[in-house]
Amino acid sequence: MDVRAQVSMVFHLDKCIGCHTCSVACKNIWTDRRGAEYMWWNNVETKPGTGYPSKWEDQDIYKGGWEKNGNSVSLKGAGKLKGLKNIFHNPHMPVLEDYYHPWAYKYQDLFTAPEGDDQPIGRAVSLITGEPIDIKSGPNWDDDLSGTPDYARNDVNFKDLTPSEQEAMFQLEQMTFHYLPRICNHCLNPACVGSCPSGALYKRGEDGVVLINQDRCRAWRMCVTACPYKKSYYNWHTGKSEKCILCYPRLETGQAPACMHSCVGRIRYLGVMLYDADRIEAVASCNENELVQKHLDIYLDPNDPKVIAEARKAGVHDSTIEAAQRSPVYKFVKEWGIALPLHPEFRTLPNLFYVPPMLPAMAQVDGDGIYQTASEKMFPGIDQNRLPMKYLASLFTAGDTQRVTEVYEKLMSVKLHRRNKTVGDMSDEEVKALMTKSKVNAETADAIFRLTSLATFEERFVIPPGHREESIEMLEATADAKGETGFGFKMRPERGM
Amino acid sequence: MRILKVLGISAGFMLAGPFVNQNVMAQDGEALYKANCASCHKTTSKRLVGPGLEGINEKRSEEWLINWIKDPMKMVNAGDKEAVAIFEEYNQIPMTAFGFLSDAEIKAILSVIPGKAGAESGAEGAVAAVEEPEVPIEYTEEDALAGRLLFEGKKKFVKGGPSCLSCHHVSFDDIISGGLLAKDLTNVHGRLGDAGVSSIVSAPPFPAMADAYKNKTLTDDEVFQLTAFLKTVNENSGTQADTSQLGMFQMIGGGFIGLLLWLLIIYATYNNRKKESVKEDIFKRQLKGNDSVNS
Repeated sequence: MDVRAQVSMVFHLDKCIGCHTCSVACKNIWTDRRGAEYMWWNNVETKPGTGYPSKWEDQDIYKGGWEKNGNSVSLKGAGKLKGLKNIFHNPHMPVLEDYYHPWAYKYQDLFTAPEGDDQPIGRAVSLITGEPIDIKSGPNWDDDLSGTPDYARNDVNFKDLTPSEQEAMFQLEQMTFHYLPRICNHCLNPACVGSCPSGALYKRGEDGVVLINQDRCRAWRMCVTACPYKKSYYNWHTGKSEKCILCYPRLETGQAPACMHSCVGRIRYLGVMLYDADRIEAVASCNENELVQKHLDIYLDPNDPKVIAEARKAGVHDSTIEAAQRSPVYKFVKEWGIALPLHPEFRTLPNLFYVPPMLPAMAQVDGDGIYQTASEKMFPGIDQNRLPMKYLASLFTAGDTQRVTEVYEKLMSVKLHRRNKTVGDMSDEEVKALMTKSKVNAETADAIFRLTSLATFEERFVIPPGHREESIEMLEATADAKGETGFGFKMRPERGM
Repeated sequence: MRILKVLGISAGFMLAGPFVNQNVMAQDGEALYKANCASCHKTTSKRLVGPGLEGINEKRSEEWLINWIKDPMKMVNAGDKEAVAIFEEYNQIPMTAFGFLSDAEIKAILSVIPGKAGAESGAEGAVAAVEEPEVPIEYTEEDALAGRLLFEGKKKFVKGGPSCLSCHHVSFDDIISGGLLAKDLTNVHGRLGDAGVSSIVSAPPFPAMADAYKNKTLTDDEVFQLTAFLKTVNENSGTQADTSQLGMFQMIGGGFIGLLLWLLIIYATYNNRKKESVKEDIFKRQLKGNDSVNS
């Protein structure tokens, strides 16, 4: 057993309002630079939709992620032989238009235009060439547009749905959408790291953050192809690739990443998970129907004395183990089992988990063509979910509808339990039946409810101490402590992470 | 050509240096003839490289001959009818210019050339105009082989002259392509015969060649062997592929086929690449800025 710590995340999709505050916070801090205009390390997609970059989930186009290869995995679009073949001509790259052509407006013209018959306008100019352009698409061009033929109906996750099932989704009264905020998953088995010919990508030992060494990056762009989530971006100005760094400078000073800190819906949770690094290869190469379960099994119980002992032996600091024990991610993913990884079939073992959206069926057209505004019950059954289980299974469980259904049953149990507790207009038997079926007791339901809706900042973000910025400053900025005695560190403090 | 000429003239100066003398005697004429003319011209009516000179003094005026010997191309270019006729007759191969010879020396040379056969030349000490019998010389295969080794430079010339191959090319068996500085010698024996070849080889009339073999003249054996080899080459030339031409053809053809193959490999290897944006269909249906203004 090789126990390591991983900073993991949970996004609660039921709470996401699609405001893009996270994206803007990230943009303002990290990608507001020349060459990075088109990058959105954090982006929010409308689902069903094609996402950003367009159709990123379709690995027949982009060749990202891993493929099962006997008892191991091999990269779909990169690797030793394929990498050599394509090293000077990377053939499956997203082009700029797959993301979007970034632009700004010439607002100055509004003030400096000479007087004339026409109202001056702010023309769109390319942020790359500086020339006026016709805006053709944007990073969230299909925002809130479910049912559009160009975007929603081209969603890659429809591949398992029959045409009639797809059509049913887009009936006027049935049509729905939800948001899917995405950042780098900081995977346990990152394809980007595996693909880099220069060895520029690495996974930090203390917290598992995946980073690109800008000094070693040689612009081969294998990581751009290899990342199935298309979260590695090529900066055309610096000639280096860049990606989400999980705001590690903020993490090290005890702050939540900017996207999470700024989240209006408070959908984001961050915490440490302990996992067994020895099992990564076996898990990544298991059969597709076992992927989710084995992926979740790789995370270890931080309260298990055996795990704690092994973690200490592997150099995981006590403060990190303690943070893992309080981790909200552990609760969502392991204890309650209501958060699922996004596209586990890419076999990268992502560390970002999603609580799927409820999307209750509030109204529907029945067989006689009569518009029903409400079902007989307060909360209609999961089978009446507007989004078909097959669609959600394609997103979160590699096609396993059973597991998605189980998650929904748990979420519904919490809902019924809380309704019964606070309003009391539900039938006890019905609530009890569902709770028994979904194996959620009243205590758990209350805990889920609390962490979902009432959690404080400290409960949502349990960041292990990693105060190395502060400590280095106090040790090295000697002028600050000149002439003083008895203050500051005498010895370099032990690192938390 | 121009460079050769310049080289030739300067080489000629060096060669002829000792002979530049105002008091030229008749016997000097004979020596000068042997040194400068004999490799190409016979004193009989027989053609060697250039025409036989028997009776030239009667055929042309002395002034014409002096001008011609000093700079043949000047006369050709000036449009002298007789000069042009000779130039054309000899396949437009210009005679070496002997500008370094003084008028007196040229006169001395001319004085040793006999008059028309039978007629008394009147010149004292004329070069004996002995008709050489046209008996083909017998060469053995060993001679030809030795000549080949000399030609290729695999065997050194006794006096250290450079190998023929460094300047000349012959199409013969597997001999590698020779230099392109001087003439292709494949059929030289056919044109010049034993006498012509051996005379040129033994006393090169061409300035560059003369300079190269100055003080390194070939021995009689070497001349004999080389002549034998060139004869063999000429006799076999009908069955030889023209390697120089073939090589060029092979290179261009092979290069073209190679290019096609390479393009084919690239096509097969990379054809499955992502060729355009996945949004291309959407863009195609979008209105362009100007379209929306006009419509």
